[in-house]
Amino acid sequence: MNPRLDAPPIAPDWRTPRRLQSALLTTAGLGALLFLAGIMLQPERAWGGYLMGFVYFVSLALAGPLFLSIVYLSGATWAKPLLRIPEAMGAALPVALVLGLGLIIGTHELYEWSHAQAVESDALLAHKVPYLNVGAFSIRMVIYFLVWIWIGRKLASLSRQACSGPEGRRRSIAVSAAFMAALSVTLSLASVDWVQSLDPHWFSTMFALRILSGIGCAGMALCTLVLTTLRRRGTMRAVVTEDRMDDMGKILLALSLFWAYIWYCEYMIIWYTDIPEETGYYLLRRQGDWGTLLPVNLIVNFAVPFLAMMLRPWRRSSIILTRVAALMLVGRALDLFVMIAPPILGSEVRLGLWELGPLAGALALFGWILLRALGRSPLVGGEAPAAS
Amino acid sequence: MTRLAQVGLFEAEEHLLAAIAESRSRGLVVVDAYSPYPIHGIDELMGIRRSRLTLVCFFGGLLGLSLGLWFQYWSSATDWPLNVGGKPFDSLPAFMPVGFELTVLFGGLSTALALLVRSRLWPGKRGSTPPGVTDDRFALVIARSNTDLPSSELPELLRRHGALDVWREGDR
Repeated sequence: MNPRLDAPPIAPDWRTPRRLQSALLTTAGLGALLFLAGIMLQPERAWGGYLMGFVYFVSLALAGPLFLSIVYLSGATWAKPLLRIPEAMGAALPVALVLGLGLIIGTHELYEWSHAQAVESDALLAHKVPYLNVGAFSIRMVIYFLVWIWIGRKLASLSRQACSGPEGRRRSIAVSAAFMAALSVTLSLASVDWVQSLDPHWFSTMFALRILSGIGCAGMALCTLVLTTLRRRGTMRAVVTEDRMDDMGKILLALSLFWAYIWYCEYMIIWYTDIPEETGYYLLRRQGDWGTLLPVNLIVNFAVPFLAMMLRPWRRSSIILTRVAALMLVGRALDLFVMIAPPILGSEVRLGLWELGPLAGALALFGWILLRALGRSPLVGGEAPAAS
Repeated sequence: MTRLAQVGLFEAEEHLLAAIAESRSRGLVVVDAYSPYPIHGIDELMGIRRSRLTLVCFFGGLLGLSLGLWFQYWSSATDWPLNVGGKPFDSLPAFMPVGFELTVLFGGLSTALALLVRSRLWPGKRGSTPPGVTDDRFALVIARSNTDLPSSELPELLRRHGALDVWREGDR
C-alpha cells in the first residue's frame, strides 16, 4: 500500500533488558582481565588484541557521525526514522579516547619505531622520527579525538533536535561538511599512526581509504543489526518499513563492493609494480597460513554479502539480512586481524584468548554504551516519521 | 479483442491514486499511469509485476565478465604470450580491471537494450503522451477486461475521481 495513506503509528521506546546489559558488562570485564593477564604473560599478543579492539571500537564510534553527515549532505530524508542509532553510536567517542590513551602505554610493545635502538640502526626509521615518535603520536591522537568528539557532538545534537526549515538545514549541512573535511585529514593520519606504522618501512596512499571503507561496512552492518533486532521486538516496526530494510541491504551490498574495490586497488598496484619496499607487506600476508586467510577475507567481506544482498527476497528476509550483517561484522574483525597481527606474530598465525579477549571486551563495551545511549531518548523523534 | 482504453487526466496525485484503487477493485485493467514525479508505492497499487530486467542485467554482466576474462586469457596466455614485468602469462589480478569494466558495460547495455525491446521503442518511433504529464498533470489509462461492464462506465469512473478531461486512447 502507499505508505502515505497509512497514519504513522507511535513506536514504543527501547529498554535494554537487564540480562543483556549485565552480559555485555561481564564480557567487557572479562576482556579487561584477560588483557591485564596478557600484559604479564604475552605482552605483544595482548597489545595486538588491544589494538584490534581499539581500532574496531573507534570504527564503530566514528561510523555514527559519518553516517549522520552523509545523510545531511545528501539530503537523505529516507533515513530520518533511524537516525537515533548513528547518534547513539557516536556517543562512544569519549570512551574511545580513553582506550586510545591506554594504547599510548603499549606503543613500545607494538611499534618498531618506538625502539630507540631499532631507529638508530635504521636510516629510514631515523628519517621518519619527526613524525613517528611517542610524543607526537600521543598529541596527534588527542587532537583527532577532540575534533571528532567536538564536531560529532554538535552533529548529534542538531540531528536530535530534528532541525527543520532552511536555517536548521543550513546549519546541519555546514556542520556535516566540517566533519567530512576534518575527518578526511584526521582519519588519514590516524590510520597511518595506529595501523600502517606497524610496518614502519611500508607505505600506501590507499591505506586510509581501506580503513574508511571498513568503517562504512562495520557501521552500516551494526545499524542493520540493531534495526532488525528492534523490529523483531516490535519497536520501530511501524516507522522502519520493509522497503527501508531492503534499502539497508542494498547499502550493505554497495559498501562490500566499495571495500573490495579499495582493497583490490591497493593490492593490484603493489602486485603489478613489484617494488621491494611495497611488496614486503603482502609478501608476509601471502605466505603460509596468512596466505590462506587472504582469500577467506575476500570471501567473507565481499563475495558473500555482495551475492547474498543481490537477491531481493534475501534482502527482505529479516533472518538472512541479520546473518549477512553479522558476517560483515565478523569480517571486519578478520580484516583487522590480517592488517594488524602479521607484523606482531610473524609468519605464524596465532589466534587465541590473548587476541580475542581484548577484542571481545572492547566490542562488548561498545555494545553496552550503544544500548544505554539508545535507551536515553525516544527512538522516534517529534518529526513526522514517514517523511518521504 | 480490440482494447478500448480510456484515458483520464487528473490534477492531483490523490485523485490518481483513488482512481487506480477503484479501477482495480472493480476488475478493470490499469494499463498505465503517468506522473511528473515518482510516487512511492504506486507500483504495488497498480499491481505491476516485479520487473525481470534485473535478471537481464545479472546475466549480461556475467557474460561481460566471462568474455573479458576469456579474451585476455586467450590473447596474453595462448595466442601471443608476452613477458610483462616477469608476471605469469595467465595473471588473474591483471585481468580484473578489464573484466570489471566489461561486466559494467555488458550489464548496462543489455539492460538498456532489453528495456527498449520489451517496451517496443526504437529510434524514430513516435510516442503519445497525455499532455502535461511531464509538468503538473497526472494521467491514468484503464481498460475493460470483460464486457459485462457497460463501456460508458469507464469515463464515468474517471470523472467521479476528479478527471479534468477524458478521452478514448487513440482519439488524440
